[in-house]
Amino acid sequence: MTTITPDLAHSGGVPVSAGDNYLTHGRGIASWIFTLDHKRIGVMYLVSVLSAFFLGGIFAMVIRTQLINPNGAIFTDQAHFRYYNEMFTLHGAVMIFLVLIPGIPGALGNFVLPIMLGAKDVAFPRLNLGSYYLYVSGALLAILAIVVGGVETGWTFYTPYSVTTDVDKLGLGKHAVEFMVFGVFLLGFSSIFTGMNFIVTMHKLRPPGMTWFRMPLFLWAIYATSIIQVLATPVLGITLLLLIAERTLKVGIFNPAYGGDPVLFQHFFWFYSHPAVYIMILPAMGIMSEVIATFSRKHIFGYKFIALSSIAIAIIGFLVWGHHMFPNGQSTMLATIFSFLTMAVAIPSAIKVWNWLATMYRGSIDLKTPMCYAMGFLFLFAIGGLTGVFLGTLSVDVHLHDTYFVVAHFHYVMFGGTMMGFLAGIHYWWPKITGKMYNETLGRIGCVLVFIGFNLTFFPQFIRARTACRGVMPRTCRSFIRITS
Amino acid sequence: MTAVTTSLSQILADGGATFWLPRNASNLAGNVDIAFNLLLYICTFFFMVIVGAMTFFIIKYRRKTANDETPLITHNTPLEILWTGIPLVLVVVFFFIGFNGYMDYDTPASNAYVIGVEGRQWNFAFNYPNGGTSSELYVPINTPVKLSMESKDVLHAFYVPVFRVQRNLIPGRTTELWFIATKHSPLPNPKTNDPGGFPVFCTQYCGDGHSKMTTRIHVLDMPEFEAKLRELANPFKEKDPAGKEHWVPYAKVGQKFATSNGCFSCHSTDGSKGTGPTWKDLYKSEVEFDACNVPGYTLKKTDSDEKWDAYLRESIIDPPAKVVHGFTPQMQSFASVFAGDPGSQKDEKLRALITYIKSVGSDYKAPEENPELYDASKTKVHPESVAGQEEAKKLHPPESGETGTTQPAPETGK
Ligand code: HEC
Ligand SMILES: [Cu+2]
Ligand SMILES: [Cu+2]
Repeated sequence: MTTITPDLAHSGGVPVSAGDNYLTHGRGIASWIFTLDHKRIGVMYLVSVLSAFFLGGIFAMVIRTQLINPNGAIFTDQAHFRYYNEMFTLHGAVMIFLVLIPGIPGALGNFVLPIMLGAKDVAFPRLNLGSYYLYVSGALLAILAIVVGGVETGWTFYTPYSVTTDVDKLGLGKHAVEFMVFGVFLLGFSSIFTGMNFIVTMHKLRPPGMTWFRMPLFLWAIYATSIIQVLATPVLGITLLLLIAERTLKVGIFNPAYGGDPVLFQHFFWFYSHPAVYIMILPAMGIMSEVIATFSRKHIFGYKFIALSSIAIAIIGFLVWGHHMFPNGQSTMLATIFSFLTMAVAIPSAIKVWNWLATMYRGSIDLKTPMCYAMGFLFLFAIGGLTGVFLGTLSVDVHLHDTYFVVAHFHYVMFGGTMMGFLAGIHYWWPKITGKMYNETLGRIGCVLVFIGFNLTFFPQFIRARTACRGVMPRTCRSFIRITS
Repeated sequence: MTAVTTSLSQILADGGATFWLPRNASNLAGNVDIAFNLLLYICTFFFMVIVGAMTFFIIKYRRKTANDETPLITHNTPLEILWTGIPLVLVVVFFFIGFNGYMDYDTPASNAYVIGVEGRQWNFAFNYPNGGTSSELYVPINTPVKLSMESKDVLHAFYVPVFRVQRNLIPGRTTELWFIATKHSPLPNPKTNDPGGFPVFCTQYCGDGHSKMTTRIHVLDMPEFEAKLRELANPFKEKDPAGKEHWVPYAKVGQKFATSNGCFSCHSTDGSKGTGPTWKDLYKSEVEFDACNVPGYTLKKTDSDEKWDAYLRESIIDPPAKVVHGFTPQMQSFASVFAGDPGSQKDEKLRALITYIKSVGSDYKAPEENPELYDASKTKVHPESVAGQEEAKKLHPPESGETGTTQPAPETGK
């Protein structure tokens, strides 16, 4: 347990002269890339995550541009459709594994968690830097995969397609999928280490007087997130290793041609990936609780309910993965249980929304940029959450499953929720991180643009589920149904 | 602007469709629609409450001075119990409605008419109990139909929006789906290129041709359905407009099989490269292989008809045996459809298919389309079948040097 005391030489332990801060304290590139300071690691995460967000955004632009024309505006024949499939695979994989999952905990969590808690640093600063470099290595492997062959498995890597498909662009052998999958494996460990680090920090480095129920709600949210990261991610890791083993050694695990079972893969995959959506959304909810209370100048309403609802979400979230597999023809009994639990997990989220509204009641509300994003979150997350109830309802899901309705729902929760929360948090802590205030007018204009643009892009997709079914325009239907995987 | 209004009115005019849902045409759809609409109303209400309260608070409680005082409200237990309780009751209600509808999906009528569905990259093939096969589905109206589905390669899904049914096709498993079609499907209209029927989609991403993996369901009255079944079960015969039956040349029959088995999702006949090599001028060309089960095997223009026949056969029954240069062995075996003893129905289908592939090239000599020859009433066996050729040989022994199946078969049955 020697590492519990932070390495003083690299953190705030050195006597600080006036005007010296974490940005100016050490100079030169080495002082950044070998830093053990949680604040610097947070900033490095922030830069990396935003770069990945930009990359994923470019992929999204290619997808939408292709679909402008029913026959395809960029890739126009089957020989090139493959590139389209690569685009949506990469868009999904980059956004999920490089942006949404590490985003808030890695960047903002790292920066503010020890400060909010009153600790000098996280419990294991070296491990923290290690997580960051695992993240970078995972990202580099993903890029390598794109270069050597390209991956078109879909971000879910569903077997048996992911076991059999591959292309060799550079003549180095058909290993693109292996690189990609191993990259995600590393990202998984980055996530596990971050989660572990935070859990230990919150258990062991709380200063005297900082009891559990005095912790800021952002920390409760990060705590719940960390539990999921530590418990669920190993399952993903093992599954991905098995997938690599199946591809390289041709042992039958998931591919029926070798004697495996593709549904097993889906169980493993969603056992991680459903809880993973809470890894993505819970920290954003934590930011919401901070921002709304601050800019309403009110004590947060129902502190305990919010704190415990995070934990409830983390626990129930583990038991709903089967709702991704309703059309597989799993037993009716199972489907019923999964549907019921899926409904149940909506309740803690609803509680949070009421609490945030009640916090605004009789407050003194100042629509500064973070608050604008928080209001955007409320609006979009309400739509995302309520459409989730449609999908949890068994019979309705049979109709909506794997259509654009799901794509829209997912983006309303993940962008409308997580990214709006992230943006709120970036603005909220911007002065603390950089020592400078952002331009309020530009910040607000940005928020309004994001809000309008988002709705224009994604709201029509709810209706797509219906128009895609019109027999009179099969071409459009086809191209619109094509990304629903 | 007019474009927007017309497409909007089109959407609304589409018989029985609402803004959110397509028209409904099966026994299962009603229940789903009720649940969907109920959810829509209640969720819209709650959305209004949330956004309404938010907007109201933002305006009413906006910051007026820099040092506004606010009350300290930390919690309110009755209120919190109330707003936990109401959503809880509602989701339990939703759950039961959904569960209720779902039970219908899982309890097919015991007298359902069973049709087999095979999914492959990238088409569906339907097998009827009488041996007929097709690439578009035909079902009788107001009759329970059960689809027994399997995938031959990767995951696929079978989704019929107007029936509100969807189920995955999983390799190595059989999944089932049932429905009663309650409305006639639109008729095909060759003038507008409208294929008719209700659309069917594969909704499980399955590779490069996924977006092309669609088909149609045609809902027919029972008598029409039965006539269609007879037609599908005997692709070798056709009725002319006068109602007279005659044999269809093998090359044409083969084309039907190529269509219904989805060969064209990977192979073209116009020379363009798809997932698989084009069939244009394939017959009697030079083929190179990346992998080959017979060491030293070559295939050339000058090779015999028999060698070419054997190669084409093998390419369909056991595709990975010889992999054409520049292609990945993505084609699945069609043995379950085409492998049979010589002279059997399956083998004749394969011969027809091969005849078709050969016919997509300049080296193929089509048999004369002698109306007499193809008159079904004159001969019991197809003139191009093994049996038909034997019969022909007996009647007209071949002149020296004239062999091979591509020669016009002599007239028989006179
Ligand atoms: C999933 C795509 C796919 C489908 C569907 C498909 N094939 Fe293929 N086919 C291929 C590929 C790829 C090759 C080349 C690799 C090989 O030889 O195995 C090929 C090769 C062939 C060849 C050898 C061609 C040559 O140039 O020598 C024949 C003959 C053939 N297919 C016939 C068929 C028939 C008949 C069907 C339909 C019953 C069919 N294929 C369906 C992908 C497909
Ligand atoms: Cu889920
Ligand atoms: Cu598909």
